[in-house]
Amino acid sequence: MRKARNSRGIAIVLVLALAMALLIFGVTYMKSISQSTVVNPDLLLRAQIDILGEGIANIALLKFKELPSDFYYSYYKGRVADTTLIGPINTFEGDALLSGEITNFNGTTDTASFTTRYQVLSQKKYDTDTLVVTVTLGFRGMTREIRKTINTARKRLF
Amino acid sequence: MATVLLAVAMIPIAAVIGFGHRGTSKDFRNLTAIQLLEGVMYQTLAAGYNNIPFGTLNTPVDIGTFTLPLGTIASTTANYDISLSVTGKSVTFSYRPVKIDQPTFIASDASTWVFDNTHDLVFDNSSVANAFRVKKVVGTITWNEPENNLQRSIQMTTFLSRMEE
Repeated sequence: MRKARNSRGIAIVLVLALAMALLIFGVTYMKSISQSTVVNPDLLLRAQIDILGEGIANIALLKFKELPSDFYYSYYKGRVADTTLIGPINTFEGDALLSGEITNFNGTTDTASFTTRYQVLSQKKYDTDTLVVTVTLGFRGMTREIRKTINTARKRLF
Repeated sequence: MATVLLAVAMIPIAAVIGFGHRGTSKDFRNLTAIQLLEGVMYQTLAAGYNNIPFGTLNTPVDIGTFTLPLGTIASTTANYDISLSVTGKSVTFSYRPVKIDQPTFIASDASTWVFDNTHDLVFDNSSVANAFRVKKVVGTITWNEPENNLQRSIQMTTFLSRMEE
């Protein structure tokens, strides 16, 4: 009789422990869900920025293809021979479509910004170069860099 | 008493788990949409300028070596509609040419180079010589959320350049 009276509250203790365990499980589950939904917009931003960067690099390569000698003169004057005269290469890299902004980007109210930089990696014993186009983009606090590399051949002038 | 307590405790816990499941499903649909559109945009970049026609494209486009999967894509989680809007983009390329007609100009001596003021090379479709060389491509994917039938959409933008004369 005494033993039965002592065991009477065990069911409530068990139920409370079970409820507590389920609650902890539920809270942990919700926490993991909330963390994964934070990752989602970052994945979208990364994809949007990378796709835009590929397009801007395409435009940069088109400009080089259309104006190769003007590029080389500007580049070597400003980046190799006399690094104080950067006006011409800044003009070359400074077009609105190479270094600028896109407002209301992808249907949002925000602005995507980007800059483009050319780099020539010369192979001095040959008349060939490696041209690296680097596009740096920023959108909603995320920054990414897209690089495209092509091999070029030219007649060395100096 | 214990049974009542257990039953009452189960109500909010069941609600939490149900909410989590809906969130996971929504997250999955969002991720699927991002991956589908990203794939189509990279395929568009690989297709090149000449293979992507102007206009609104919402049916599959045969590129030759592959088909661009546009239009409705059925998935186990939702039906996605993918379309491309392709327009000509006017571009102005600014540059400063070297004055090679200067008597002091020596090609091998950079100190003799004198640069002219800014010149512009324009491709705005105003003539055959100035025909469009850049296409702006805006890809859009839309789908409906099954719970509330709310339409959601994602956009991505890129550019294609025509390298051939």
